[in-house]
Amino acid sequence: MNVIFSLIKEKKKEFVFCAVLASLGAVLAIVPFILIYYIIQVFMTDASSVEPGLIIKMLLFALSAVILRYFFVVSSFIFSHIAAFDLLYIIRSRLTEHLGHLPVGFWSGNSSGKIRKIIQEDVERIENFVAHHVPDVISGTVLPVVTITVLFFIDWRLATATLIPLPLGLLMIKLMYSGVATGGKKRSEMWNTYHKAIENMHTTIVEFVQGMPVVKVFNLTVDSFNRLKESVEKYRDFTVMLSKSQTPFYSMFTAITLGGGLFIIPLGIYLLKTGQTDAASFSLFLILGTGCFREFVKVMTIAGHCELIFAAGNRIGEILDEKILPEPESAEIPQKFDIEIRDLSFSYKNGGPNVLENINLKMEQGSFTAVVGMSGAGKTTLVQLIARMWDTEQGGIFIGGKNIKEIGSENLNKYVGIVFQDVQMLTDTVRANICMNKSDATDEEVQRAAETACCHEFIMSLPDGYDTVIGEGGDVHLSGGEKQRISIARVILKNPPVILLDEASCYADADNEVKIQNAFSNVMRDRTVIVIAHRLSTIIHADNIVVVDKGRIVQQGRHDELVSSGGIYSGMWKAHTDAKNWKLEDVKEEIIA
Amino acid sequence: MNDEKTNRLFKNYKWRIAGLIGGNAVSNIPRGAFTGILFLIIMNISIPVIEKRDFDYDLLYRYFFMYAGAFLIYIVLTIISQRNNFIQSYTIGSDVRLRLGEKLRRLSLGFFKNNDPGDVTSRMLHDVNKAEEILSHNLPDIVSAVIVPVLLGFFLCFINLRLSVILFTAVAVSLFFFVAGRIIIRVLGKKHLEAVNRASSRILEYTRTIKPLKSFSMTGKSFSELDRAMIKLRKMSFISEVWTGIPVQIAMFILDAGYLAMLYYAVKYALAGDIAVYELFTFTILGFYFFEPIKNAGVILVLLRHAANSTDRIREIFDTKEPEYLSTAVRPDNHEIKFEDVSFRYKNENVLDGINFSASEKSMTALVGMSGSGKTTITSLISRFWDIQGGRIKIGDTDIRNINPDLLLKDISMVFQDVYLFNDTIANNIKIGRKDATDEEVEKAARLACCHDFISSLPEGYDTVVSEGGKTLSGGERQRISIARAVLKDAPVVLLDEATASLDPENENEIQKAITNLVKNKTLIVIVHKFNSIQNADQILVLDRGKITQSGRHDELICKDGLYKKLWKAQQQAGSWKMRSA
Repeated sequence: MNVIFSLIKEKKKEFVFCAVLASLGAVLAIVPFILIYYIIQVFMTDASSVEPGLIIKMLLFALSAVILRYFFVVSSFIFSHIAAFDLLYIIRSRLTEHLGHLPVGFWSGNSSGKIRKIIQEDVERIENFVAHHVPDVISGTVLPVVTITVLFFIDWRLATATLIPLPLGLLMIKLMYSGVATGGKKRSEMWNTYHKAIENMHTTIVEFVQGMPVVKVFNLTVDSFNRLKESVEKYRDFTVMLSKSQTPFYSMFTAITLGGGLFIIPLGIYLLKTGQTDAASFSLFLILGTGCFREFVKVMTIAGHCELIFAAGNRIGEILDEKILPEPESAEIPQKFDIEIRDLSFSYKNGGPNVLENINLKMEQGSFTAVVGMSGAGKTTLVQLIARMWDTEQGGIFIGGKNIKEIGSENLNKYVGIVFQDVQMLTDTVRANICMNKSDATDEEVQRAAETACCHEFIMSLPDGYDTVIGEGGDVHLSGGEKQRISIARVILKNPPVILLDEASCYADADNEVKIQNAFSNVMRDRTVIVIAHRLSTIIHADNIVVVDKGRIVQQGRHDELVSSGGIYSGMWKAHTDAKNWKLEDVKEEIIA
Repeated sequence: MNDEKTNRLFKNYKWRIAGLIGGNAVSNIPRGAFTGILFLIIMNISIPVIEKRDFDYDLLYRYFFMYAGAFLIYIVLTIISQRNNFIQSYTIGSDVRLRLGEKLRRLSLGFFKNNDPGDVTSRMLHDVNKAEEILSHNLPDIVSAVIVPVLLGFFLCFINLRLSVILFTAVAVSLFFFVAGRIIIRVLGKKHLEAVNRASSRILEYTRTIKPLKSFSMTGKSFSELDRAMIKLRKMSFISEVWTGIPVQIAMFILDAGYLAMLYYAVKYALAGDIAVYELFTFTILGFYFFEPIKNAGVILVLLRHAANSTDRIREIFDTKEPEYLSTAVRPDNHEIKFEDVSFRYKNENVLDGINFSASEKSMTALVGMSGSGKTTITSLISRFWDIQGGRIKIGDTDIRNINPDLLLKDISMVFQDVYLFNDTIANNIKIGRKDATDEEVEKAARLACCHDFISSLPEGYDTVVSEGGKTLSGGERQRISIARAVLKDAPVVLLDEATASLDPENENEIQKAITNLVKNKTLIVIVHKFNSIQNADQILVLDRGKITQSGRHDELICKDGLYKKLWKAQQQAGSWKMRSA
């Protein structure tokens, strides 16, 4: 709840202004009732003494009140929407900005579907809150309050009778939310279960759609892909259960608040009979008193919605509370680009097992270092730490003698280029995908980078050349090798002194492979390069080969030294040369037999 | 009319929805009775005053008891109908979701290429929620908003036609604005939805590409595409809300003004003695109750149009054509694969053109060629992920278009280039291959796929939960799990994309062992990236820009000048990275 209010603080003045307009509009809604009362009273007492001019005046007065009311309502409506959508934009920007500064470890515990839902749908709920619910609550409370006040002035006894449905109705609401309706479970508990059910359904549906090729090929019908069916049905069962247990109370609430007549009518008849009230006042209570909580029902419905909104606000708050990588106040600028890793240990979770253990490593400026090891040895983590995708608790990484934490992400990104193992394209033109943040690059520069990365040729063969839209929502689907070369062109254009390559030659066919290797040979000159290599033949010329096993550096040196010295590397080298000679001979034998 | 289409979406639930509407209609009758009784009481205390006679207290008390009776009936009926509203709408909603899932699975992959995954998921989630809301809230509200004015309208006509005409005129004029609001919503709502979807795709893209974006300092506002999408969303949200809200407000104003105009004439006629005082009172009071629900109905009609955008989007999926087949065709018992003059186009681009080949049962066919030459497309076509535009693909002499796609896929195992694992335990991820497999069978498949060892070394073994997309495992591990799935499935046709390039040497050996285990005795079509593994293939098809340019065995192809020889040479050269010009 606090989160929501701290989020909307930004537009507080605007919303207060809109609230005032909305309440003025709400007060004026009472005018037609007064008019009805007036007409009845006038014609009841003595129709012959009625002054036509006065009634016309009253009608004109009512008309101007109605016009004024719509003026207030419409302006409140417009201003609150300007402020609301502005607010949504501000919150979304804050969220995306914040997400950008979080360590990438955040994403292993949070699916992209879940985060998208928060940024989009949960934030959207705030619009409902500030632009609809707040004005509705105001008009839903102001009108009954004004009505009851007026009624008290006319007859306090009948006014009290009018009020009776309110506590009764609220009692129903209280029962609905108390354990009575939900089998002893608390309200907050119920909402937690509800949100978990929704989130679970979201995640499985996102998976179902993303994994569609697998779903198709393994005939994962909705019946057999149990998790989808289960999550959808669990959501259904929960909502149905909730509806069954809560609607009786809710229905009673709506009925009772509309049933003011139950108390007004008998009391009114009694007062009339004993001469304590007159027909006109009684009529007024029948008209005004029986319907005055109608708008108030809306308020309670909104209270139900608010649970959803506050829960959404909490989820937004949770993201904003995630600690971002701290940035230095004044950035240190390295003059040299050698890299040193000192006494570095790293675990994904605080107190979790160390993925990297006591790493010490030096890389001279302009040198070529290869990192090899089994999958899961910690190679990718090591390289991503240099790009500060995470921060380390123990030990440090220094570029040109400066700790990368002191250099700051913004600057570090200028000095370090990284090609990831899973290549991602943005839904945008090829040019924009190569430029990334360097939007001022000229066409010549982009083309030169593409040529160096050996992708100019295939780009030109695309329907619109460099203007072809690629990526998930694009017109053209690129192969893994093509995407890879574009991601290399990105780094070439950026031209950083330090380059990190992670599993950079996956998905390449033979022809591609040569091209990619040429591309890299072009880029690597005079830069500090670290490569995670899978084909050992590609790194035999490296200045230093670092062998990582179970998070530790177990060997390092040049290829020849390592091959001759025995140990893990020489074993890997043997496996590698064996693999090169692998044939489907076993299969053949089986088939022939 | 779009509402008709909306109705079509719900047509499977015709009776349930009819029941829902009926229930709400009935439960609203006592509510109408409240108004009627209140009116009668007012008449019976005001007219005696005018006529200077005593009140009939017995009658008044009788009215009170009628009121109380109607109230009790109202409570009971409302509880029943509201419960039913919610239960039906959530049940129908979940049914629609599951039907959508089943429908999506049957669509060709082209649908997923043309529609962003973020958009497809939001149809299953967000749009179905809206549809639920139509049933649980909007429809009942409409029913209750329509019933009372209709009843009152008839009654007022009987009392005084002239005054009623004023009321109806106001309703007609306001209807014009309500309709205008609906038209605006239809136009702007679509644009708004486009903006929502674009923002949705961009947000999803942002979250998925966060790593490269970070490394290029393109987070937050610096990722201008996302910022622009969100600014556009802000603008479109505002425009669509406000421009649909204003006609509605105008319409409501007209209703209020219409009431005042009617009062003006009623008072005038009453003063002139043209109508009786009781007529004036009737119109003063009931006229007010006549307009109130119409105001609600107008607002709901506009909301409903909003919701119809969502139901349109759901319907679009249901209306997308599924690949057709003959129900009579049976599963082929021979698994020879034949391509007869196959051509396939994607968005005006010839991806495959005049492909002819046959892969005899239990033989190995290797596909080679540059990236983009159509290798992956050939394997996708065999599993009928797409339909071809020309020629025929046969398995064991049956055109695959005649076979029920579910049956067809029973005979095919695929190992993809990019492996997708579900956010579930490793055991369940392997069991996708065969749902009813026992734990022993799963373990056996895992052993054959060389992944038993690494799975056992995980803290929770086979019960370890894999994160979304399988990101917590290495590429090699993921691939071996996907091979284990295929081993477990044990289909006679294996389509394999040999993406071994991303793996470290140790893994590569393991994977090759795994593949060897998988393909025994199968009709194998393999996309090959590293030539050393295909020298013993029964036939090699060399693809270039969607055509087969060469075919034959390795020893034959290597002697001829052509693409194969060129690629082979390139492969042999692919050696070490050269760091410095030296």
